[in-house]
Amino acid sequence: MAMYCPQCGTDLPAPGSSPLDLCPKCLLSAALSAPPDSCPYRIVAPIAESRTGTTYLAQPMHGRGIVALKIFTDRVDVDDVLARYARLKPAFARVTHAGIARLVDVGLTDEGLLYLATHFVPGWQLSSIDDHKSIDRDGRVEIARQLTSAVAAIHDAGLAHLAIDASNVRVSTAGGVRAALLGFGARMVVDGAEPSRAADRDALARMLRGIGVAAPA
Amino acid sequence: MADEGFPAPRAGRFATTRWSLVLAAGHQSHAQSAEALASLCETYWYPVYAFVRRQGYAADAAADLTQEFFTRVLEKNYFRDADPARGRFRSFLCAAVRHFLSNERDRARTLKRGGPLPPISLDAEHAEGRYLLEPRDDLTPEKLFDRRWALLLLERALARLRAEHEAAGKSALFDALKGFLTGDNADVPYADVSKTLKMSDGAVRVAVHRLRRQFRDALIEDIAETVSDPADVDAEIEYLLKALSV
Repeated sequence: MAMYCPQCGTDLPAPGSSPLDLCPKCLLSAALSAPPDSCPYRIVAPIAESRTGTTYLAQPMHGRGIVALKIFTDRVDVDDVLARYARLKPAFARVTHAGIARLVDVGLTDEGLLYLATHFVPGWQLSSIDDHKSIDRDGRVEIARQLTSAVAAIHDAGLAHLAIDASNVRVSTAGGVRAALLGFGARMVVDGAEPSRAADRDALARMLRGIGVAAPA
Repeated sequence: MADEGFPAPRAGRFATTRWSLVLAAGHQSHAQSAEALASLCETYWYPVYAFVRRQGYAADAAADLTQEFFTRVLEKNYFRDADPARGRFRSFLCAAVRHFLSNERDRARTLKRGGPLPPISLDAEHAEGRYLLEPRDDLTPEKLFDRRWALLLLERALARLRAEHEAAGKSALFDALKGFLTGDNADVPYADVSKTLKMSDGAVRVAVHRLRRQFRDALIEDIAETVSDPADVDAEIEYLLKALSV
């Protein structure tokens, strides 16, 4: 007995006559109607998942480099986020400190999901510093110096980080100790939070005390 | 169409597709083109078998004729007069087998059994098993050939995608998302799949989107192997869509 696709009504291959267990016409039609890729990144691999979305290692379709691409779960305020990004973009572009994973791009995927791309920074989380015995007292002080300088650069641009936390800092020891703040832009652009230097300074002091370094005056 | 439809295959890859190699060889005997042609025939023999069967030949005769046809194709450079500017392997193969059968009938020739080893591996029993399950008797041999050709391309692209996911240890992901390749499946909401896969809804949507693109790319690569010009890929896809719509 002939079987028909409930979606398009065409003949389905008889079971056993083809390994295809999907409607061939719908399969080809869906492939035909797939929109061209508008998201300018090619996903390489997922690297983190949270309540608000998944972060992928990704490569720009055009150009070089690697980014951390966070794709947010469904949000209803994507237009507001994009408008905020358009407004704040020049200020974010001024922040080029080596101790900050710079905000590269904010946009929508082909599925209409919000994404936020930042420079990918390899390394381990500052929160695991006690597991890294090679970081001595001087190393910790150097980390504190770099992060303090990074936060100052953000404030100089009239912006704030608003998510300073040891889990948001990557440390690398290749070629000397280097620390970089992640998550720059997420709170101000995505969440629409107002910049607060005081909040950043308090969070920085708390974080540095956590690694045994006194906060800067 | 080319701008809005499928992206043209990468130029580097296209330069060495199997069918363009065959056509480029022309009259000259060339080991690389012979190998390319053998590989194409090995892949696409079943539509030829179905064509021969639909012409009214019995299973045994159809198997012999199919084997004989490919022997001639591979030994006698059947495609030496093919026009590289208008070349699609599907249309040449269909025209060639039609011409071959016409000659066979004229000569009322009895095929000899035995002889040299067959050039391609044709599982006649399996082919006949599949043929008997063909759903429609009213399709002409040409339409059946085209339908089978289209199905074969889709089967190969899907099988390749599955193999890639298996190799990456992502069989469960592939199995859970495969149904979305035909479009968003109202019967299976993303939320159900995300629960099964322990992924967020957003991550599932992204994974579905990636799978669709991977399938499309795999399909285009296979189609590109059978045409001589990147501009033909779009037209070939449209043709195959029509072949599946009859």
